[in-house]
Amino acid sequence: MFVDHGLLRAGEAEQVERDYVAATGVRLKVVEAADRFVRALAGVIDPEDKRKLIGREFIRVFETAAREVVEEAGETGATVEFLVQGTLYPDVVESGGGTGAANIKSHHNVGGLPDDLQFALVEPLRDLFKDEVRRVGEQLGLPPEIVWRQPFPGPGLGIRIVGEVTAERLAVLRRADAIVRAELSSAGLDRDIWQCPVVLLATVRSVGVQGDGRTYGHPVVLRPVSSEDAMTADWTRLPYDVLERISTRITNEVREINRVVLDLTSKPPGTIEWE
Amino acid sequence: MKPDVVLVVDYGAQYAQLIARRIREAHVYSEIVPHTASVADMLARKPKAIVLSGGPASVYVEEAPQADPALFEADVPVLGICYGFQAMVQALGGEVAATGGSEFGRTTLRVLEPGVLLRGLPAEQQVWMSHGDEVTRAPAGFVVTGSSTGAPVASFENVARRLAGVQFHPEVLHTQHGRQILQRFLFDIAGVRPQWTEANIIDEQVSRIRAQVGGKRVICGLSGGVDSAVAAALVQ
Repeated sequence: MFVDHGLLRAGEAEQVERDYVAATGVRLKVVEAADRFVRALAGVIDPEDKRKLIGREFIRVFETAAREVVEEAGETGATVEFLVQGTLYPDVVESGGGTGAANIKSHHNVGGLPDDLQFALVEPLRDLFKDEVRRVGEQLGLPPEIVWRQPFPGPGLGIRIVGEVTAERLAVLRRADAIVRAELSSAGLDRDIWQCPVVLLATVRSVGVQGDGRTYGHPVVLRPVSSEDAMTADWTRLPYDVLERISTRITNEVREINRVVLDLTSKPPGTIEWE
Repeated sequence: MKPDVVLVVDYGAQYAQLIARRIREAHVYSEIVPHTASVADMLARKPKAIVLSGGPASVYVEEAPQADPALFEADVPVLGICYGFQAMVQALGGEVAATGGSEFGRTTLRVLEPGVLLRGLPAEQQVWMSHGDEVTRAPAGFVVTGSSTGAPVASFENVARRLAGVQFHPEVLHTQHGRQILQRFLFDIAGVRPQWTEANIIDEQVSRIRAQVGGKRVICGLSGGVDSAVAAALVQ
């Protein structure tokens, strides 16, 4: 089941709907829920509120769709007893095995289904670290864009827009993010950086000049980081020529953005995501 | 076939998971257990070796986690790292001193006696340190193999008892020869066999899923990321 909450990056929904299905032969049920999420996010500014709201909407949509799957199976006399989750070993250690770390941000997981819709969990990655999961994915012949996708938060682009999330802002951010990913890939930097969030500062405007006219657009922040485990991270020293190409392309191709800035903060003190 | 397992005892360090990953990169299966686990619990998992991780505490602080001396009498190879090294020294009758000094970051390790752990490695090498207290006397029967300015006993070993320890962090990349040092312990001191490969992982998971699910139906949410994609593909 794939809930398209409209907060994914350019091309990602197609990777799941087309490439992944082709590689694995799973029966995919797609739920288009982008409008619903944008409506729910109207007027929400606080990052923790956004995270909670996206999590809550997600579980409602998932619940409805799961009921449909169960009912469809029931029509042919079959039952659906299991729910597969991609829980990794670090989650297992942190939620019980280890000595406990402070909850810095509330995490976004599938949980909280109602009592009358319960499944036994199947968690085939419980013993594995991320790099092992990637090697298994390669061995299983999954699309490389999915296997090597950089870590991306469950609330998606919703927490990469500082300020209110709207359909227009999502479209702007998606175009800028696609340029950043394309340029990093063509520079061969995908495996050197852990991830590179692109953040739209939708509540900030700055004056610019483009052509003969004054502009008053938004900045985007590039947040390239290097890390082994996301617990600590350092900002990545991207080559100047790559930064230049990214900056020029974004300001030329995305009208609403007139300034590109670089985040030079390590973690700690800054988290990888801005929200 | 269950692969050989190495337990990493977590003394509350951010490094425990990194240690487990490094061990797995050497194709040895490893699991993390909290330091509150009893020696009997640890031995019940039939580990081929045990690694004691670093941790934020001083062994002198009240209620600081200790290493149970019984752990070193169980004929299971043990490697102590940083805090785990100091806890090991205390349990075995050596000396840890709170000197008030400390070493953080890149430090030069001088090899005094290569032994097994440091065999064939440069006489001086960069290691990553992060400690306050220091080991001033190794327990009886141990050969001191390395030292640094802030850690007179920076590494030691007792090959006959298959016990070793290092003050520095071999699991971080800043320690030049960290991987080799960890592997010396696993393969040359502990005699663990490298059996953890992708093919093994897939075989083991698939047979577990077959046992749990059989031919029944499952549902899985895909996020577009690698975790749910691989989980679903394994089940499919």
